[in-house]
Amino acid sequence: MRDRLTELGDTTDVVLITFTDPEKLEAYTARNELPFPILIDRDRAAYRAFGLGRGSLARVWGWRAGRRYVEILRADGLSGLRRPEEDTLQLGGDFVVGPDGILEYGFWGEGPDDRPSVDDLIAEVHRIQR
Amino acid sequence: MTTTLNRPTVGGPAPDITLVDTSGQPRRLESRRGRTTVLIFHRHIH
Repeated sequence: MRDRLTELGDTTDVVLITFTDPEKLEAYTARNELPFPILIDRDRAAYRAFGLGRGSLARVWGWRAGRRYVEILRADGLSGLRRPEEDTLQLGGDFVVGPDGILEYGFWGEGPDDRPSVDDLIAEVHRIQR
Repeated sequence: MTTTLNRPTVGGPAPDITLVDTSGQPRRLESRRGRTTVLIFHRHIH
């Protein structure tokens, strides 16, 4: 998304919401140079308000996660693996809120890699702007 | 087991949330009225 922000137009903002500890977040943002604001939701009240619960162990740590770990092992060996320090079962989501405060689009992820394509998000924004 | 929560309705009002930014300043979603906002709720960070 960060590479395609200009496609959203001048009247659209992207906001990243996270429950990450601010100290860990600092290192993360330094690594990733995010060009949009980050809001912190430590108690996950906003996650709950948007209907984002926790996934099942089997779904979150299923074959996709296994495949990802194989990729990390191939690329970096054991040194590439880090023990997760946060709630890996918390599900994420992506939403578009229109200028009138109406929820125009919602995507509720069912696993860690489950998210809409950037093309879909941009198309939704363009639909609202028409 | 997956935790199921009530989801806000697409086409209805978005939940009015207030969070803090990385400087600790409160930011309210409602204050973004007049602009389209894409909210990305992040999954956990490794």
